[in-house]
Amino acid sequence: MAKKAPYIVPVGPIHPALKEPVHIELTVVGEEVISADFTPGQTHRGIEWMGLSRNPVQIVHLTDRICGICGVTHSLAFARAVEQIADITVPERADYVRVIIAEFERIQSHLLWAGVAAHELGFDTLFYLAWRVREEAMDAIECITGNRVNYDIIQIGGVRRDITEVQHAQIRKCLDSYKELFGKLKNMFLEDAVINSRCKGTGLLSFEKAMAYSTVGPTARASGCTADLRVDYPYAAYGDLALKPIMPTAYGTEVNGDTYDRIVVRVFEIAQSIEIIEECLANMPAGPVLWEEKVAKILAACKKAEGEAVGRHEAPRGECLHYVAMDKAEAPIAWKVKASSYSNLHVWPLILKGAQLADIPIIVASVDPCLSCTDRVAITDADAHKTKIFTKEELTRMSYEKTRRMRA
Amino acid sequence: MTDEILPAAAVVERLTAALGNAVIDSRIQIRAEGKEKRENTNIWITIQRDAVHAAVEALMQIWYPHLSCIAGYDKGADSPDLRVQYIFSIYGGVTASEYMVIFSLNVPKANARLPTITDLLEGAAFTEHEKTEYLGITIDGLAPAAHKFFLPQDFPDNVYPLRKDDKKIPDAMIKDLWACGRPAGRPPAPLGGGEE
Repeated sequence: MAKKAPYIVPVGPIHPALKEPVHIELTVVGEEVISADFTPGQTHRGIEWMGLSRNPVQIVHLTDRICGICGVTHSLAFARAVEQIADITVPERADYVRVIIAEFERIQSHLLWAGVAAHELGFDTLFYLAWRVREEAMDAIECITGNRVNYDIIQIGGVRRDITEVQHAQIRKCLDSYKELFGKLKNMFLEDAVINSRCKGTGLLSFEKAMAYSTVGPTARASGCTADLRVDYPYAAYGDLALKPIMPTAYGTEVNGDTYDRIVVRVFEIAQSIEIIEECLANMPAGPVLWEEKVAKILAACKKAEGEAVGRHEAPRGECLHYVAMDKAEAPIAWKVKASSYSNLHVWPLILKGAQLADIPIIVASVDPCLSCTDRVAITDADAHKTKIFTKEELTRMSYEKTRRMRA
Repeated sequence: MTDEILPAAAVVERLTAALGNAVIDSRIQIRAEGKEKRENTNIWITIQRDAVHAAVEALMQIWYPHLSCIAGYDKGADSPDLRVQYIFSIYGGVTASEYMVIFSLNVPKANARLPTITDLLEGAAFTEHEKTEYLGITIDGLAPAAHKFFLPQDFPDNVYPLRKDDKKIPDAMIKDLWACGRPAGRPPAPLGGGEE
């Protein structure tokens, strides 16, 4: 390897343990990142293109499969767009079921992220704990929808399964155990001296940049943007609830826009989701959960529909938006999926700048990318074109060693 | 920019006044869900292509907007136009006040160009690159990217996934998984029967 700095460090694009592949290229001088570039789109599947030859009911099932974590986000956003075009009124009870399942999704997604974050920091005991307690949310989701992932519960005009009294006991058991656990989880993540010193002041995203880059969700809120669709843009049953966006100030800290603030927002959103589910369970109106049970009739209504609409939903990672245009035909003429990470990934070059190499895993993970990151790391010397391949394990090991040095 | 929250009709009025003849039509779409039927509002404005930069500027005079994305589609193999939507929202962060503001415009395929809005909103670059890769729209004033952001790096030139005309994905690129059959050279199934 030549001795001349700066070096180019490509990270990715494949890591089997994470969700989706991405390639990140870092220019480093010593341990410090001086610039970063990223290339998503490693697994372009052409889902929007596939949708253009399918009918809306088929697309709902396709949307469930866009993401393995957001099993309800995309289908809810898509269904809301189609319902507006076809002028379908969703029964009130269905709005409540939608909110309950969406909030359970937020709990499991944030716990999954918390586990990943702990792992990236070298806290594998915390990682195991977070993923163990996540199972209870997964069990509740399975109890409601029948599936742990790809819930398939949303239908155009409502939901495909109701929540009955029989299921309440298991849902309550899950919520109670989280309430009991919350204090412990909060202390472990937010009070730990090493998490504090490794996450405070790293991966900084200023309020101005968060606004200029139109970031969404916990990433935006951690930088001081108060935007939360559930509060600002009432939809489903969220309009019936008195919600406030969770900001880093929830933990009594100032808004800094760093990795630590993103942890604060996500941890406190878990508590907020528990409250939302309890309130929805208590206030669920009686009635049907589908506008029309016969799929043929839903399709007939969609086939007559003409116009365009956007459906939005505040996913665990932020705003998810589907744009749909229909023109009295079986299939829509346009379907655009804007996932939440679409609005957050492009801040990586900003927040990685000036970071230490060992902090890259946690900073990359801090925006909760719905993409995978560090599999293979090759340190390439731009002049000599020689490459030394680092594995994901080696990069993670550097992160672990940093934690150990700080503990010592 | 003021701190006052304008009613949706006033937002339309302000934008129409700023853009003049460039506004082709506008409508306000309201949706109410849940028990209390609290409303959310979407404002749809169709504008001339040349007015897009001015439209974003006028919107920024009202409130610092959030750009969800720029969407777009091909109106058909026979149509001379692409249709592009700039999907914004304003009053985000203010309880129950957010409006979507969506500017729609036609872009002729023969001259598929749009001006960049990155001078107004830095973060628009990502979604503008997407329009180039998916629909073949050249964004004037946008610094060229060193690589593709959304498609594989070896994706052929002059093919655009969301086009429906002669620049669409050729049939040769479409893999029908159902037609592939059982891969050759695989060991036989451990238990007899089941597979042919």
